[in-house]
Amino acid sequence: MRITIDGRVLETSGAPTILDAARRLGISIPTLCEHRRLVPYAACRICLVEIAGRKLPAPACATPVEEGMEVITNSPKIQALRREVLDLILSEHPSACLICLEKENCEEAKSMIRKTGEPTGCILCPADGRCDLQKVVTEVGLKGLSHPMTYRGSGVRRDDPFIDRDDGLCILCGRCVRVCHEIRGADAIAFVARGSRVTVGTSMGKRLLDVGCLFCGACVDVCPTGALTERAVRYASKFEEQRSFICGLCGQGCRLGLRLRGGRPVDVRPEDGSPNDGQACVKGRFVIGDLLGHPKRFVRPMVRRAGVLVETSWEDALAAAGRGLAEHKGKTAVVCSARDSCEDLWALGRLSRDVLHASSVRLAEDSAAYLLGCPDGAEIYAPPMTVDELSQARIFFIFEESLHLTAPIFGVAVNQALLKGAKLVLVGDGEYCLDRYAAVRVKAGPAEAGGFLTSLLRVLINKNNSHDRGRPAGFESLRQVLRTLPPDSPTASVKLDRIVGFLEKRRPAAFIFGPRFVAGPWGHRNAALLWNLAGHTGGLYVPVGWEANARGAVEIMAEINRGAFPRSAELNKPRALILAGPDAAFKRAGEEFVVALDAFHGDAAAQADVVLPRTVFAEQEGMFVNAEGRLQFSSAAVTPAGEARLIRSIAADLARALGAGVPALETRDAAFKDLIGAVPSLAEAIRIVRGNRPALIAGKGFAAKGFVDIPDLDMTFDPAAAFPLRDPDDYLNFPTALEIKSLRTARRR
Amino acid sequence: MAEKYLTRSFDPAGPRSFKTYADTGGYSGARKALAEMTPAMVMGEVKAAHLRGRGGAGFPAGLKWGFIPQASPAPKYLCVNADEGEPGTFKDRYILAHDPHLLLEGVVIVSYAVGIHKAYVYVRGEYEELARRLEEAISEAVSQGALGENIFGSGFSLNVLVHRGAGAYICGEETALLESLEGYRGQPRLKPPFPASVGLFGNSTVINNVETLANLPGIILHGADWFLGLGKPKDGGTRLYSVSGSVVKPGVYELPTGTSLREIIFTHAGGLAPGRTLKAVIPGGLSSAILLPGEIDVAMDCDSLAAAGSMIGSAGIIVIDDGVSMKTVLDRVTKFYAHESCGQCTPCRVGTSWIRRIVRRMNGGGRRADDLDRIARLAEAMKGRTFCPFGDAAALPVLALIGKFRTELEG
Repeated sequence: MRITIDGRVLETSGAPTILDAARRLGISIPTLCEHRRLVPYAACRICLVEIAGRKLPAPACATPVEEGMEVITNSPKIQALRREVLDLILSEHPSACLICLEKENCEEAKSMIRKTGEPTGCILCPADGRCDLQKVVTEVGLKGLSHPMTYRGSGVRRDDPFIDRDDGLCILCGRCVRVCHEIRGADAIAFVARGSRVTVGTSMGKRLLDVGCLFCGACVDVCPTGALTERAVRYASKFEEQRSFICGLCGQGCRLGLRLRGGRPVDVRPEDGSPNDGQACVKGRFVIGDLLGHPKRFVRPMVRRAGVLVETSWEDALAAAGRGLAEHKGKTAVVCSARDSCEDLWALGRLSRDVLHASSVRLAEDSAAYLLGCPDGAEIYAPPMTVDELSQARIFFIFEESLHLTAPIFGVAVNQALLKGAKLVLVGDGEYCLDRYAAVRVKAGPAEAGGFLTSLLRVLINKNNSHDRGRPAGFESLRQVLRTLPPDSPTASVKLDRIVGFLEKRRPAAFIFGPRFVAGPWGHRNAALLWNLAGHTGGLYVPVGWEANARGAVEIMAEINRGAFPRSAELNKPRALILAGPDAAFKRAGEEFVVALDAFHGDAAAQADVVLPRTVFAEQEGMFVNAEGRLQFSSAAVTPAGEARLIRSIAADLARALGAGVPALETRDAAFKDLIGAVPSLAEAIRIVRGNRPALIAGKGFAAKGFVDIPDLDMTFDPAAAFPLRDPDDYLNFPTALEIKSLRTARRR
Repeated sequence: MAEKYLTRSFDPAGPRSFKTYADTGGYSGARKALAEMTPAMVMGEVKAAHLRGRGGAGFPAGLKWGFIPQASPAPKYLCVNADEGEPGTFKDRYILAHDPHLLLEGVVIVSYAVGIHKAYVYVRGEYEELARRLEEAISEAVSQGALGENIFGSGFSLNVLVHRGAGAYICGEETALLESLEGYRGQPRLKPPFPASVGLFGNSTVINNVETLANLPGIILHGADWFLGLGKPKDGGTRLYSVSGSVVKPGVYELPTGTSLREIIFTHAGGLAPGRTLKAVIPGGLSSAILLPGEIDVAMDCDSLAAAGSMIGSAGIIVIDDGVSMKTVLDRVTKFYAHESCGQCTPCRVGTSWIRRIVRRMNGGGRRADDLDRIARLAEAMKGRTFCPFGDAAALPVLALIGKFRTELEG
């Protein structure tokens, strides 16, 4: 297609809008309501352009180009039109500073006064300097206003955590409303009232907390003015630089940008590109800044003297740790965390295996999701899968009710598929926001869901319709086993038929489940059933690890614990313990010596003999594998708090303190080389990274493995005997969002 | 008196039952279409009749149906626009009140022609009683086999549902109507895509006014030539003119398309009260430009009124005599549009509210020299630049008022 914009010719293919085409030519058209991730809205009318042969001006953001189209973007008529529209917008928006003659002098004199109730001009606005409206006013060149400025005067709403809403600054571009609906699927905010009284608000004017808002911050990120702001940033200074890192608060591996001023965090913005592509969640968006400088951080090593932990120097603490561990060589247990980077885990693993000859090395978290429920399994079950593929699924089986918290990016993909008409079957025993999207709701917790899954699998296998891919291994035996079970109740059959009906019409399916569902005595059965179901329907098998490096940790643990590792029965009861992972339920039971590598004050550290302060994710570089299996490298965005050191360095220090330095751990490069030399799956993925494709680690797929046996098929579980399931937030052992909320409230007062 | 079709048997006692309607030849148009004609023949007949939409835009109905892709296996929908919100217009409510089966017969005919099996009637929220009557008429028609499964034994099925609006003028705009029907906030959609390709629930949708559909039984029964013979060559049939304001006999009058405005006011509506003189006429609902007494010899059809600088719109005639201050008219007009703007796009949301504020100040005694120019500038800034036709509808009457009555408004 060939079009002309302002006399310049562009050859395009596809059907871009006039705005896209103009941008490709480097022609600037001012926009306000347009956002590249959102469906064109054409409401602000600032991007109107003239098209030859058309009587009326057309919005560039929403008009697709046509063959031979001639567009004029900067005629005097269009410029006048833009000024008129802007004039109207500014009559509803505090604008004194935008057209003030003293603007430049004022900016020098008063740089940072924003502690007023309501902004009356840019100087007092939290978005000063990052406001799209300011940019558009400069671009359009507005010199004066023809209407008196009217304040909406509704005041700033501050009754929600994290987000301040100021209607007085809103230009009703609808970006926030659209991102909440189109991308996040939360529909928490909407336009309220009509005409000049229209505002962005909630149902019945309730707080965001009460209308299903998940505080993902997407609305704040797209707001062109200061109408939606992060409360903590409202009174902060402008940032100077932005540094990229990988978030470590869940298993999604979001790329975030930490904005800094003078080396101190101001706020966090999600970055573009896989896997999160501009989206984040409440934790990544609002919590990280406070996390890094949290008052409960360990900033110096501590050693227990006369029963009390006292701060000391690194040399002293390492010497103490070395003495203690040397006494119990071979009788030491090591607990790692799947939150830590591959290098860190590998360093701890080498320390345990080669220096301490530890009696056991394990993850604090449950990695059963990848092992079909068998913690000792050497085979890792995780067929290749990406967020994009997930958003293409047409029916979802979700066994993780709090998906939007534990796996927010998968949650976004699911929402987008649901908006396009996919169906959701939600299995769980609680109540959560996914409820409202569910086509079928199965009230069954991890203990009871096995029965549902078995029945569903039996119905599907008995149908055994056209979806026959040469009878994968294990099919016949599975069918025989399922035949022996008693038939379903009539009510269950109705529900099952409905689900089977969905499955027949919609492909592919996706089976998403978290650790909660495959841990515990029923875990093995649930995981095996899910595997068989996903395999039989040709759907996606999606285990969601809760930790930043859950997928990578499984690979490394499998390698560390392989073969040559010395184990003996009498060593079951360890005498010493290195605690590098969160263990909320940790109770010291007979261990003579405990070393804690921890970042925050907590129960585990309180029981330790030596506490070594460690860095957290944004302070260190490292390699992480997210829940997709995507290999990513994070860089250090800020300097470590106090004297905190990387786990890898601490492991190397401990090895030296024990008199057996491991050369491979001395530098990051050496540790990295050592790691990929030892773990072939990582090495293969690294090779792909260098080839510039998304590097995904894939575990066993259904094609290779076929059906697996279902253990404990006839076992009935007593739900009352459920082991204490931990809340996803507690699991992280980071100060929870709730605590941070109370901190913010305190600070405001 | 000219031939009447739409109102030929309006019964003041209440809506006609299925039986009385059928006894007076009702549903014979639908029977004829279903039994003797193919959908293409029905559509051809309506195209030949050049039936123009009675809702306001005056778009030929047959042409509109022709945009619906016939081959697609996806469901198609019909939305009957009974959200009669235009001030000065009250014709659709007469059809709904007196002859709901006339509308339903039209619904059957268009659905058969386009291949629709589900129709929605979007009834204005204030027409609570009429919506109830319509629902009764629908259940009656279903029980008599005129709606529902296998209509008149032809194998054609159609379900009709009544949906009540919640009282927003903007929902009379066809895409805002679709949004409202889908359960969202009534805001217009971007066009293209037009409802004919992506409409209700994402499927092809026909949207027609009540009066437009009420004309279909006659066209099918008597043919396109009969219909064209009633009115003008390019704009056939009769029309329901709602006459209100300073006339002796306000009401709905069925007259041929192209009847002159003077004839409607003075011959049919009884002229003005004794001692009153005509000051102005709004010919096609509040959104049309006002006409001076010297301009009312215009024929009431789409093209003649457009040539006269106004529009026929919904043919809601508002007569204004010398006892009415034009300041009051301006006040009323601007208040209405400021109240009804949906607030989606900038020029309309801010423009209508500024015009309203200035008019209120003027009428409150705080008049400034440049007020009318300021209002005219704001109206110009809305005209042709808003998201939907609402901006034009709000700007045109204001501009016409200022153009024609500047001296009085300034006084």
